[in-house]
Amino acid sequence: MKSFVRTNFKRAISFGSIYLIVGIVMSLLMSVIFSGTAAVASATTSAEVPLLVSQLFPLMIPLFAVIGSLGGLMVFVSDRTKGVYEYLIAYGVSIYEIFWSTLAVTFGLVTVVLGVSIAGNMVISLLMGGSIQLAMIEMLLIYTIPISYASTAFMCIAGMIWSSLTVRVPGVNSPVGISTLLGIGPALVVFALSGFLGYSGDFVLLVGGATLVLAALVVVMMVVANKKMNRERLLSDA
Amino acid sequence: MVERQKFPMGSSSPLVLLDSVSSGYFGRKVLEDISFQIDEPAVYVVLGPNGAGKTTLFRTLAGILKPYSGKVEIGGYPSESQEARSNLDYLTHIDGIPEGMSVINALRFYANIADATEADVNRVLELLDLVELSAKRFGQLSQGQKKRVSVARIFLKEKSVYLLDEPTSNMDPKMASEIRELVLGLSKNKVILYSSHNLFEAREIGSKAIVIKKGKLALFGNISEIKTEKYTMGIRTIGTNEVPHAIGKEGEYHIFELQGPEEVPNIISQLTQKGIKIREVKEMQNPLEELFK
Repeated sequence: MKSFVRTNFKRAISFGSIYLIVGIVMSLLMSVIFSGTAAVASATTSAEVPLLVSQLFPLMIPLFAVIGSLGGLMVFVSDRTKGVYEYLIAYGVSIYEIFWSTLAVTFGLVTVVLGVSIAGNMVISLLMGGSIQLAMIEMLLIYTIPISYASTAFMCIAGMIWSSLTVRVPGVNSPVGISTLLGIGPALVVFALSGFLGYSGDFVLLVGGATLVLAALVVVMMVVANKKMNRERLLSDA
Repeated sequence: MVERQKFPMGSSSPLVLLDSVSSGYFGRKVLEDISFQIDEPAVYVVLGPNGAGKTTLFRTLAGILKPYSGKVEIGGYPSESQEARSNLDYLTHIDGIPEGMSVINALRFYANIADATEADVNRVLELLDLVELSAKRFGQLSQGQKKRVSVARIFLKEKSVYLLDEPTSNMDPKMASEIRELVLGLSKNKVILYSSHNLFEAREIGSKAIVIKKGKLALFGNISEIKTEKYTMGIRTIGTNEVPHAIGKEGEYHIFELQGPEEVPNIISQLTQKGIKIREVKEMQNPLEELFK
């Protein structure tokens, strides 16, 4: 199983390389914009502006994490279409193992996006004369990391189930396209609501609640898929 | 009396058993009340026209489809158990090679799942003459090379039961013959279920037949029990309408009725000697379709 995940992780990087690059580059670009804005603001206005700007970056990362981790789902859809799962099931691999391995691969990709984006942001921030704000680290820990993993897990499981229940559809209506929207959705909602709540106890509750709801949804969908989904759903349409 | 071959696990149970099995997709039955038992290693040709339920039978035997009712056992173990799966290999016309992989990595991928070793992968690469292609991506290979890679999978580990579901479909006759020879090389002391919708191909492959008709078992016995009276082939020629021995014409094809496909080379030779240029030779009528009317 470990080796299966490792192999598929490498394939996911290759399959979803464009999305991975877009996710990382976009987050670093945002980092440059926010750090630059903070540097200009700190020279001209009060200290609160750079603090506010530094908090915007962690709020946006989950969107890029969802985009950057699409490779895992792409491998799943490709393997289903190519009939790989027909052979895997014949060898005794269960639907649960197939779904779980795809989820593990997706988590690996999220970790790559988060790792590079956060480290890159800190380097960029320091290079542009800023400092690493405690508020940003708190925001990363409270919001960015849990929401990134929860959103991508939701995107991944929804995409796998969607893909298994439908015939192959190309383009934005494909499972990969639809599930990206599903993954970005929760992060966007939390992002929008955070504007009203500010960085307060309510915001922490909102993030915690959203993460828990997403995690619960992922677990329920995984259990239901494992128990109820017919194995013929994973066979190739060919 | 033939001594029953024992399964490697030491069981004296039937090598393959189907008992009143109904199976299909999404609740829709394709196979209905199928029962048979295989006690002797041999090549069993599973025959039936397209849509008869051959693939469903193979998928049910391979533990891919869960039967709606009845019992499927491989060597005395339920087909979905790990014991049964570890003694069974399965090959279909679908390549099932993960996209983007090189030949060697594709074999490693399956070797890893089938508990085979790197030495097995290297042995199979040599056996199927794939060493020079090992670093190439699967997608870059020709159809014939792809099929060899796909077939290579079943040589990774020795099994007792092989399910080969139309492994030569959509292949040219020469390539089909090569692949057939390869997979039938496995047959010593093994149970091989080989599906085909071509009776003449079936007679070349084995002597036992499992005939499926509209999802039901029509025959389990010797292939010689299936009688056919004629073999109909069509020849498309270039620039002539007068073709000797032809009994008529269907579209662009001149129709010939023969005793069997072994007579085809003679006909072609006779026609070419008379200066007739041949564009295409085609089997016009599947004898099984006649049989199942």
